[in-house]
Amino acid sequence: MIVEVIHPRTGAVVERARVDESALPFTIGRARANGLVLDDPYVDGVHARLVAEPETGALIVEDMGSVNGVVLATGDRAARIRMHSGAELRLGRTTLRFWDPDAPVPPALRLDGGAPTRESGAPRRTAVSLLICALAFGSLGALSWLGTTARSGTNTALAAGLGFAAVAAAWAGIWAIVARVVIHRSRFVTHLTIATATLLAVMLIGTLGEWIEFIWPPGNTWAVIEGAATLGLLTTSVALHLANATTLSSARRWRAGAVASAVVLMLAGLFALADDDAFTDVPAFSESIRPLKPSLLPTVDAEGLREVHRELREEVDEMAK
Amino acid sequence: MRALLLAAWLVLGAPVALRAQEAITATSSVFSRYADRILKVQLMEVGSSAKASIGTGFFVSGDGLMITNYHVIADGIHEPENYRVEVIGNDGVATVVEVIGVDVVHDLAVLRTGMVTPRHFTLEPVTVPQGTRLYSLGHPSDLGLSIVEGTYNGNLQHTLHPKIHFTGSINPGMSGGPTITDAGRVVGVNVSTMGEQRGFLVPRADAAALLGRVQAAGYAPPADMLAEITRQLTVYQDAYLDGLFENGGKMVDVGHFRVVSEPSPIFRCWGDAERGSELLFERLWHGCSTDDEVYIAGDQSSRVVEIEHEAIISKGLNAARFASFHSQRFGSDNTPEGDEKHVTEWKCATRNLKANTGTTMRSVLCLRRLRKLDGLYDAVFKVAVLGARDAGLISTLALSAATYPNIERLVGLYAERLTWR
Repeated sequence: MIVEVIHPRTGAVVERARVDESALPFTIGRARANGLVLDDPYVDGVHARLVAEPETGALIVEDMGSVNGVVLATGDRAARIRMHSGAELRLGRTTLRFWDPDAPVPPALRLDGGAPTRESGAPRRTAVSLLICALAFGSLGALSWLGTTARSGTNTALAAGLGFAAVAAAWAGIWAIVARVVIHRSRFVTHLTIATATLLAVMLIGTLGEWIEFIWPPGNTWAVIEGAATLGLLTTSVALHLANATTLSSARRWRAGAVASAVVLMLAGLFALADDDAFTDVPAFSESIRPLKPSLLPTVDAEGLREVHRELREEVDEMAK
Repeated sequence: MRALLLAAWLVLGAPVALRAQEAITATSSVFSRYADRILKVQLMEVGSSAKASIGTGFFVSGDGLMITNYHVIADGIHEPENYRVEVIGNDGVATVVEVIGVDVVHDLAVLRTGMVTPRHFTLEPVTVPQGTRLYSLGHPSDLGLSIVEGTYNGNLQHTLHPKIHFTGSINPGMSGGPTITDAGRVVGVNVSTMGEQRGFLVPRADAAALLGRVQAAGYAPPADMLAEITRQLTVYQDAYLDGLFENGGKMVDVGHFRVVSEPSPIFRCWGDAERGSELLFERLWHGCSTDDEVYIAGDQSSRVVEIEHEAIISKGLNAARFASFHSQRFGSDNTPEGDEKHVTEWKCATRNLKANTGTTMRSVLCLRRLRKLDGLYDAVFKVAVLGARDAGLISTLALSAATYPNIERLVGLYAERLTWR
């Protein structure tokens, strides 16, 4: 683990110490015998120490009974804190930042003032990213085009594709700003790829759902699967965005993704509840028709249809009670 | 020159002016002779102690029985806890009245006012030729008793039961009032309007029949008026739907399809098409209905049965785009409106059906129940005929206030009557 001492006003790193496992326990304080010496009158002689958690080997910061304590980024004091890459702590008036030695660093700035150099392997990744983006925008445009019936349908499709591109770019831009602030790298293309790949997957699930609904109506089971898959995609998407914009641990990223999905699910539930309360005289039914030969389509005969309708009647009678 | 003009006025203008004067005199005379036999009927909202709607009624017996429209007092039957029926006497005093008989199919009701009225209309038969001048009386928009002149134009052609076409301005509030000859003979009861001088009357004979039932010895008002309404509607829809789509019936070609049209002589069909150089499709529309509309309550009424066919033909759409268009048209809502107080929400069941004719279609039946009229449903059966990449049909059968056995029977017959040409 690398410990950085941050300048209280400029935020620049004024000192950097490497803590190897063999050096544990590693003490931090104002006394000169410490592993890391802090020239801060608000820091105790031996203020805190770094130890390895016996069960997991994870790095723990322990308060050694200091006057001003070990303060988290949230402002809370804590006696024992498990560290992760990118975490910040305050001892007295000194801020410490902890990094995994393998944590990525921003590309070097060019002496001639040009754009930073790319990460290794970036051109190939960018090409794949652009391909995914093009696929997503193209698919969205194509879906819009399929819904048009006028000769000017191509314009509609183009507008839909470009409209989505703008929204996706804005979304990726927000994540890039977050990433720039938190990990000092924007990774715009990566975020754009995550957003468009998610959309592509959602469209794929939706299209598959329409076909299933057409072939095996009413397709209620699939609707549940589709809902679950969409939530799974949302969770993954948020976790991936966080992985490329923060230094949160993997567990925390997935937890955040799950929370986002839960919020969406809750909102959907609230809307559904509100809809349930509001009377509507517009019926909802599966309208999906797809280009498939009737001979390949599973069908019911007149008697089968009568049975279905009798069940429907029972449901309506039940509803009227 | 002045003499010439005077001569022209005498020859051309004077007779016209005199005839107009005579007409005004006749109308004025009719009004003054019969106005006291007609009262305002109002539906009082109990909570707000104010009238929710108004109509008109007229005395038909010396013991204070009054005829009005069922739709004027319907909410008083469906929601007695919220509404009561009152009439406003000539002295301006409101009297709570009792609904003692209804004929929901003909939109009539008999009120017992308890007033003794030596002057009342009789409902004896009267024959009038087309073009006869008639006088409609009522309370348009609560503006006071008014008289409207118009002409008798015979019965409508597209109804199960006769309904009179009166060319005159029947306006809201005049419902339930009488339309009479200048001799005070009732020809019909004001019931509805299509605007622009197109008014409709319930024939006198239907009012006389209801009154006859109510005045028969031993008659007692139904203990459960809603059950009585349900019974009447059940009988009516049985008569209406009997034999529909059976024994051949008229078939027509719409686009690439052979479909049922004018299922009985009282139906009237309309058609239209949508085409355009910018459009990559052609849409042909064919719909059939009657002029019947039975009022139920609130904003709820029943057209009993309507059919609609929509053929779509590709003019450059590929198979996927055409299927998408077919979906859009199939999903477009053409169901009748509903009032939460009187109907449940729709519930629908979608299945792919292979009819006995071999035609494959996507079918959906949407069903809802009339909440207070036990055993009656609204149903919309819609199918999309499948099988071509460039042509499709969306066909809808809408049934309203019908029993489930009738719905099941007609849906089954209807699905077998849609085929490719």
